[in-house]
Amino acid sequence: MRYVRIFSIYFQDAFQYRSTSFVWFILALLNPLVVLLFWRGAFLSGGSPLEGWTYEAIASYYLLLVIANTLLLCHVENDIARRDIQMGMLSSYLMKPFSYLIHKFFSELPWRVIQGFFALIAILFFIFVLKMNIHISSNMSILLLSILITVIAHLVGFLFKMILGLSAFWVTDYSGLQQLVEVSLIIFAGFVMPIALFPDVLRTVAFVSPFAYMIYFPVVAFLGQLSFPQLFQVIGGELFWLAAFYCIYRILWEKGIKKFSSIGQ
Amino acid sequence: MVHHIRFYLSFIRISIIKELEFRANFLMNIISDFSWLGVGLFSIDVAFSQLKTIGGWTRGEVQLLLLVNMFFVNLLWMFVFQKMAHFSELVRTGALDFALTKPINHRFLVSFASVPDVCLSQIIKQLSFFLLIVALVSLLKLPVTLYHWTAFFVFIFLGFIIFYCLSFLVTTLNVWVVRLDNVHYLVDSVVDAGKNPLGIWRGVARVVVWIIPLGYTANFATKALLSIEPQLPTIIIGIMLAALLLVISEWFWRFAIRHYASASS
Repeated sequence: MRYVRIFSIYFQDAFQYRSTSFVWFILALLNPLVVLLFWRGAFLSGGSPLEGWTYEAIASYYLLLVIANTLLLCHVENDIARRDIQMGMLSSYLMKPFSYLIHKFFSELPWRVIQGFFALIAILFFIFVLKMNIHISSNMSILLLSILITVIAHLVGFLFKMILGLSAFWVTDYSGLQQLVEVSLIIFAGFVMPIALFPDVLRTVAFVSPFAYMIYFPVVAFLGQLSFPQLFQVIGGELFWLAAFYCIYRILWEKGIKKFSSIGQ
Repeated sequence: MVHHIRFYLSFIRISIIKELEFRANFLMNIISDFSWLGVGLFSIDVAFSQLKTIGGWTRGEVQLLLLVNMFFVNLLWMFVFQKMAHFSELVRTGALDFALTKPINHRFLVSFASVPDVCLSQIIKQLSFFLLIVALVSLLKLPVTLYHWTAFFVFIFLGFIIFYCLSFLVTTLNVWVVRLDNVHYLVDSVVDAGKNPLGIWRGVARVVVWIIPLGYTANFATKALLSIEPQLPTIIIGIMLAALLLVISEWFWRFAIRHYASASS
């Protein structure tokens, strides 16, 4: 029950800053749409620039990417690194009777809900007003497994961003690291183009990296592009990364908290 | 004017000293930015593996457009975007009060000199992008004369003024909307869309190009190097647009400051 209360308090906080949420949503919408526009221009220039993909399939992919981006990708790392660790606000969390991880999870969730809601409205606008078709799987079992993959993907992404934020215990200026992670995410989570279209080496790197499990696999799962064995394989991969990130998080937290100091009057 | 330039140069000097303190971060910033270039070139490569032109542009021309756009975006990050992010913080914490009491033009102070951030890495990137542009122009055997280079820099300058004014306009909204600290990313995303040929914007999307002068990001500057069309009419329209936006943004800034009520606003 107390977690519901934390969620409720932070929902009110996030709702108060709904204009900030709206700008984040527009950004999440704008970038895939511009990439889609580029591919549309390529399709209209004649032929199929993306082997094995029709324009309808690629449009469905990028529209689902918008939802995945708003709903799954957390942005806790800046708050953790700058506000909590560098400015010393972490000390206030240490006094509270619940874990920092849980607290951060429920403080981030409302932002995902609000931005996901904006994304849903936008997608409905694309479907009903602009008459765009989104081809998602009609098989109920695949849809249920896709929902499970999406939930685990959110947790994997959240733990990854927590680890990134905790790096501020050791790194004074972490903007370079954040940039490097951001560009890796853009490439290997499938924002540039579906990973299936990558050259062999890059595709292998993408599939063994955690980034594909955060965004790409939930999207292609909903599109019905994964068979049942592949869906279970993805769930296995996600569980591996979830366990690995949780262990890394615990180690970093235990070591980092010993380094942390904050002063005040 | 000399006073303002000396003031600004001292900020750059402080910024470079600060950056050299964090060398690992400096290196990661450089790597991540060149990775963005790699991502862009990779997308172009995939699209042109099946096509000869996109929106009427050939592979080499789109590559040149990408480089010019990166040159332009980096210029805005050097001088505009980070200051805009800081403006939200000034309003939220009430620190804008101190800026408004300083004996210097207030718009200049919050636009260009409130926080030192012209980093050495950005200067290196800017020079590298320019050298790559020169190399590609030579590789494509373009008949570029002094006239074309002059037109190129005039377009970059006009684009800089236009998008600085647009950034400043949306950032000024922070006076009314609390914590709109991400709004400059919106302008960044719009500017980033300029790496695509204007010809891909068709149908409903074409309206966007009329509302936001996307051609002034990189398209017109690249066309100047490619000698595609006469530049003079576009330059005249650009000058008028830049002047109009300077006047509107100045009026809006003064209007906003009249409504600014310190941290309690």
